[in-house]
Order: sequence, then C-alpha cells, then structure tokens
Amino acid sequence: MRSEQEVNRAVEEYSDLIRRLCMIHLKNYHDTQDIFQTVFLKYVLSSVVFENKEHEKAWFIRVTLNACKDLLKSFFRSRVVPMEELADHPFTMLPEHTEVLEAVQSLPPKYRNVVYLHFYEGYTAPEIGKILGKNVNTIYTYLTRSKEILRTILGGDGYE
Amino acid sequence: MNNRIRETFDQIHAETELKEQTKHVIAYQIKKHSFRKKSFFKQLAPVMACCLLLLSGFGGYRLYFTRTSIISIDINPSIELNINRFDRVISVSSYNDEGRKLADTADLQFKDYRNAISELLNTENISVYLNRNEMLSISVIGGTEEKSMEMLANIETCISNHSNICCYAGNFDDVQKAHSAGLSVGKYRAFLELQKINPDITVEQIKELTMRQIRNLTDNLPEDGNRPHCNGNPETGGNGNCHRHQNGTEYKQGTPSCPAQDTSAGQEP
Repeated sequence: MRSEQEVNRAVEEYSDLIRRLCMIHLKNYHDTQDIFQTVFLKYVLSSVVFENKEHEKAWFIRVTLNACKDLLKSFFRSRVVPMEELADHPFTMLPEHTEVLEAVQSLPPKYRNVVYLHFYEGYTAPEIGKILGKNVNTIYTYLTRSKEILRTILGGDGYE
Repeated sequence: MNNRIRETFDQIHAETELKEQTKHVIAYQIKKHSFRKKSFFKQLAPVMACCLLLLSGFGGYRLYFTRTSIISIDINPSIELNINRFDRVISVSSYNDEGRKLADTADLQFKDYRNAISELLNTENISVYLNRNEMLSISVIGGTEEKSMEMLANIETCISNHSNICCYAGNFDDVQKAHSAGLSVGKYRAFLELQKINPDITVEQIKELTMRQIRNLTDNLPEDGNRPHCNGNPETGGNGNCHRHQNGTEYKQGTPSCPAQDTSAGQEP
C-alpha cells in the first residue's frame, strides 16, 4: 500500500488530467468526485511499480477511463443525465471554449478519448492504441472521423 | 481546431476543493485500511491459537505414541512391550501363540513398564513356566545406552523376587532383523547365540522352543535339560537368578547381565 505522501504527490500531479477526462465523459460534479476517489484509492492499493512518469501517467489515464466507463454502465447511472447538470461544475468558461467542450462531449465516447489524448496530451496514434488497448488503425479511423465531426460542428476552420 | 481544443482543455483544472477532499478521503481510507489490517490480525488470533492448540495436541499425541524403547519378554510366551519416552507401555506385540494369548489377557497399555513387568510375572501364562524352572529372558532396547542401563536397573528391582530371569541390553540394530525373522528381540538374540554353535539351525526350528530349551541347545545340553545357564547359587540347588550382579559386573549393551564366567557356578553338581 502506498503512503499518504505518495498519494498527495499524485493528486497534485494528475488531478487536472483526471478532471479533464471526467469533464468529457461525465456530466456532474458528484460523479467526478466519485471518480477521483476511485482512481486514487486504486492507486493507493495498487502494487504496480511504475517504470517512469510516462508509465504512471498512462496508468492514470487508463484507470480513469475505466472508472468512468464503469460508472456510466452502473445501474444507477443508466438513467439519462440532463445537460443542465453541467451547470453544477463550479468553474466558468468563455463561450468559445464552452462551444468546443460541448462539441467534444457530443462525440461518441470512444472518439472523445482519442481527441483528448491526441489534440491535448499530444499522444501519437500508436501510443493511444497502446494506452487504450486498441489497434493503431482503429485509432487512426477514430481520429479521422472525430476530426470530420468536429469540423462540421465547429465550422471547419482547419486543424491548426 | 487543434489550438481551440488545447485552449479549451487548458481552462479545465481540478478544483482545490476537489483535490483537498480527495486527499482527505484517501488519507481516511489509508488509516481505515491499516486499522482493518490490525483488526484482521486480532480476529485471526483465536484461530491461530486454535491451530496452535491442535498442532500441539497432534505433537503431543505423536510425542506420547512414539516408541522409544522396547522390552522383549521371552519364556515361551514371546512378547515385546513398546515403551514411550514417558516410560509407559503404548502397545504390546506378540511373536507366538502363547504370546498372543498373554497380550490379549494382560491389560498393560499406558502402564509404567515396571508395573507392567511385575504384572506380567504374576500372570498365569508366565508363572506356570517360572514354576517349571524355565528361563525368562528380558531384553531391553533403549534409545540410548544410558536409558537401557537405567531401565535394566529398574527392571532388576522389579524381578528381585523371581529366579531364572536373565536381563540383556540390546540395540535397535537387532530389532529390524529380529522382526524380519518373525522373532522378538530376546528370542532372536538367543537364536544368534545358538547359530554360532550350530550354523544349520533355522528360525523355524527354534520358534516354538522355550528360552530354556534354546539355552540348553546353546550349551550343548539336551533340550529338556534342567540346568540353569548362569549364576545360580550352588548352595540352593542351582536355580539360576541371572539378573543379579553377584560379582559386580556392570550391564553392557549386547552383553547379558549374567556373565559367561559365572555359568559354571550355576551348574548342578
């Protein structure tokens, strides 16, 4: 079992990453709190020895996405969560950012992960394939399709 | 689009409240887990105590029921008392029909070997032979030489009121051979002595003979000879009483308590 100090360090280091992943999958703050606790509890109890920071980061991404998937699959979450619940997240964004976020959230879940990991975290398709346990070609397909959808929603102003 | 996505996600940060709450919850879970771990061991303590008790019970059982010494008693009933480390009889093995009868009738289990021998000597199966001036052989195989000597000394006290009894100390090497031959240790020893004189003799030939008959054969006497083989007192008509140290000779493993040089003293004129 990991120490409290290790957990505090990990919370400081990976909270933003987890928060962003939660933001694209979950629609209310309480679920995000649940995911935070689940992920860091798993970290505490995990006996995985991380080879380096990248390995650790990939572990957090994978565990967070699995936790989100489990939460959304659960019986109590099977009901539809209205978009209004978005309002309960405590920070405010500029309208242009809210538009992009909503566009990403409107993508199928499998595309959301790829978009976030590629466009924000800067992972390549093979790296994303490794993290998500999917074929590289599948990742390329997801990326192409998600770009098309986003271009449609956000007005097709190019990739850069 | 790439930049817009990056800028958007750059705006998202985990709230300080969320981080603090998470840290708090995890710290609580760590404490709870370590407490549970301690509590688990506390719960395990009675189970471990029971296991320990069972193990010690099993160990005690093995300790009690492990044979450490053998006392072979042969006259014609031929039996062996298996003795544990606490000097108690844990079982009786018989090596001929009369021995079986004796083992069935005598209740010797869990008795101190001294009491067991005293009881045996008073049973009809043995006393009838002793009254006929037969020779009783008691062979002791202790775990160590000291133990054998101690047991022989104790047995000598028990048999002080009887005559025609010879005591020996043996070793465990003979036990396996004796049992393979279907003989008790005492009778096997007598057989070996006889075999030195008559190499053609077989186990089958001596199996049903009394110890006196075997001894007489060894001494080249007729089987019905009535002569004691060891230090009988000529003044009392020669009835041997082998177990006594009349000349101060000490017991030695593999050596009868009635030394060979005394044999002539027991012969009738």
